[in-house]
Amino acid sequence: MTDTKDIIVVKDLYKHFKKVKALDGVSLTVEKGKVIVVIGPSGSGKSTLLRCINYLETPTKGEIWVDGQLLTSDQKQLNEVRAEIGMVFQLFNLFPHLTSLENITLAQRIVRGRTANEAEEIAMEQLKRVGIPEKAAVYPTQLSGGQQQRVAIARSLAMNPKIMLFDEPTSALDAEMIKEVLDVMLDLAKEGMTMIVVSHEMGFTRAAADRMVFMDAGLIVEDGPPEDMFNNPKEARTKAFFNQILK
Amino acid sequence: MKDYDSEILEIEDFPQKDTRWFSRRNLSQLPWWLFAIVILIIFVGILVYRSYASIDRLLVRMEEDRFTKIEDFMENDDLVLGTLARSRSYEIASMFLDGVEIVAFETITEAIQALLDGEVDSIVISEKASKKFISEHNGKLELIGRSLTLNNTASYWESFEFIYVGLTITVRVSIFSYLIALVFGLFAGLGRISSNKFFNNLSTLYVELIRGIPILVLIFIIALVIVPALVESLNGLGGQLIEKGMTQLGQFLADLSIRNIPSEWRAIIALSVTYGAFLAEIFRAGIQSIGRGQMEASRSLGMSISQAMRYVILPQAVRNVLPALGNDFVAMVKDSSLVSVLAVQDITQLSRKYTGTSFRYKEAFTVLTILYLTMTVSLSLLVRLLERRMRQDD
Repeated sequence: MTDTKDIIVVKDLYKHFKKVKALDGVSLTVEKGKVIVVIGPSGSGKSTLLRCINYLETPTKGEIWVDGQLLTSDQKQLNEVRAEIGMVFQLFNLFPHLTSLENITLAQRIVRGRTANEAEEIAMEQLKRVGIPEKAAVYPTQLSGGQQQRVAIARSLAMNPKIMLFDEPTSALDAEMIKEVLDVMLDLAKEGMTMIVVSHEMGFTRAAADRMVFMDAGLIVEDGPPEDMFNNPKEARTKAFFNQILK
Repeated sequence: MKDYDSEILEIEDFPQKDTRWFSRRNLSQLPWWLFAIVILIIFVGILVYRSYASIDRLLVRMEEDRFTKIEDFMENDDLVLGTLARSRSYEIASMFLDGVEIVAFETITEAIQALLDGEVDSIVISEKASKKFISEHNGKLELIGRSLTLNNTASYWESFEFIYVGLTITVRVSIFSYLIALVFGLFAGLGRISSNKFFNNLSTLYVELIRGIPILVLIFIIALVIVPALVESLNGLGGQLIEKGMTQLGQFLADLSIRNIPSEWRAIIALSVTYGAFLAEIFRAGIQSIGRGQMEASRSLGMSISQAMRYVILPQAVRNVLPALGNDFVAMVKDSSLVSVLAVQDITQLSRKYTGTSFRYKEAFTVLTILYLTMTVSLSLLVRLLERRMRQDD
């Protein structure tokens, strides 16, 4: 059994697509309430790691433990576990045929079994939390990118997840909208949510991350506190990467 | 003096509104269905005009006073009517003029000679064809009355009254077939994208088989081969059930006869199986048009595949394919005419029945065409309207 303090334990994870080895033996432990930021060049396997944690990708080999449970391909277990893991996507993936409010209430009603009133109350709470309660009745296409991403975060939070995964949540946003999304994420980190964030937002990393993980070619190259890594990267590859993105 | 250059400039800078009503630009702004209606009116107009122009009349000897119209022949047994052999007037006259002696001539010349000789008292002939002979035998022949083959608007109305009774069946067959086809199509469409090998292959087989067979042949096969075979196997099952002691259900199945299944329902089964395959492809395309992210987002919120399908994917997919579904309903209305081969009394079958006894092909099939066009054009308009409203929503 794993220590209950460690809410996510990834053991020796492999994910091979037809030709690409996206993950080539990754092990990672995340303690409850910690914020982990994963960085690395594109194609290094960061997103795949995130998507494996809630089994959107089925690993080729290896173990994933979430909150003391070993994940298998059993659909019933997966649905239950996924409800506890919120995921925020690069392209928001809001449901375009539903209003913001309906986007947030749908899963609450059909997965959590909440009544419509209950779900709406929680949805409004979450919309206030992300700062756009006035957009409740608006369809996603009429929202800016930043607003859409905030609705997506509210949608995940309304499920009362234990863990939040962010897959490059600001990469598809215009510069002036990045801050409004990062602010929401910062608040969330301060409230003690366990988060794994794939992002190159160094400001957010400095402010919120407990640990930083640098991945390259399907492997975790370096893992440590962000300040140490920024100022004194141990590995040559990490150094080269920082030189590239900070210039 | 007028400045040529400035005139050009003026025209280019301020394009004048085209005030001529008959210009390509103004014409292209008219809705397409207006053209359809205009073409339809011209078509009907030509038909009606032509039928008046080719009215068959009675050619008689000058100063004939025993009759004025063709019906008089039925009251006077002495009168003999002449027609051209194998002509429509001959067929109709021999069918409707009970007891009247009719002589059929091979050529018009023969007929005219017989009329002049007094062998017949009148010949049925069109005004146009008779002109030459009237002037040839100046003063001896004249045209009177209107013959039985008279085509006028009343005969169109009569055809209509006979045919439109079948509208109920045409509409019923179309709607029921379509509704059942929607169910088949939805399941087959889901099967086509399913990761379950069995359902996937089954759906693919269904779609490919059906699409490879002409609809007319499918209707024959399903209504006259497969449904009777099913009934027979149910009879056999009923017999076995009786042996096993389930007499009530067994007896019901054993007594089931193909005659219990009216041909209308067999036609509906055939059409819905056929259209199910078409609609499956529409649904499949619709579901595949929804980005992968929608399924991933739903799943990451803990929804099962079927919940994600029902609440997230299908509502969007169906919305996207609504115009295509509408178009297929229009096609279904048209293809419902095929069920007439099963003697289902739809408007097509009634037209055939009507022409079989009246020989009024022109009237019956014109009425039939207009009935179908009225349904399909108005349905198409609705689909376009829907399409436009959906574009505005996006």
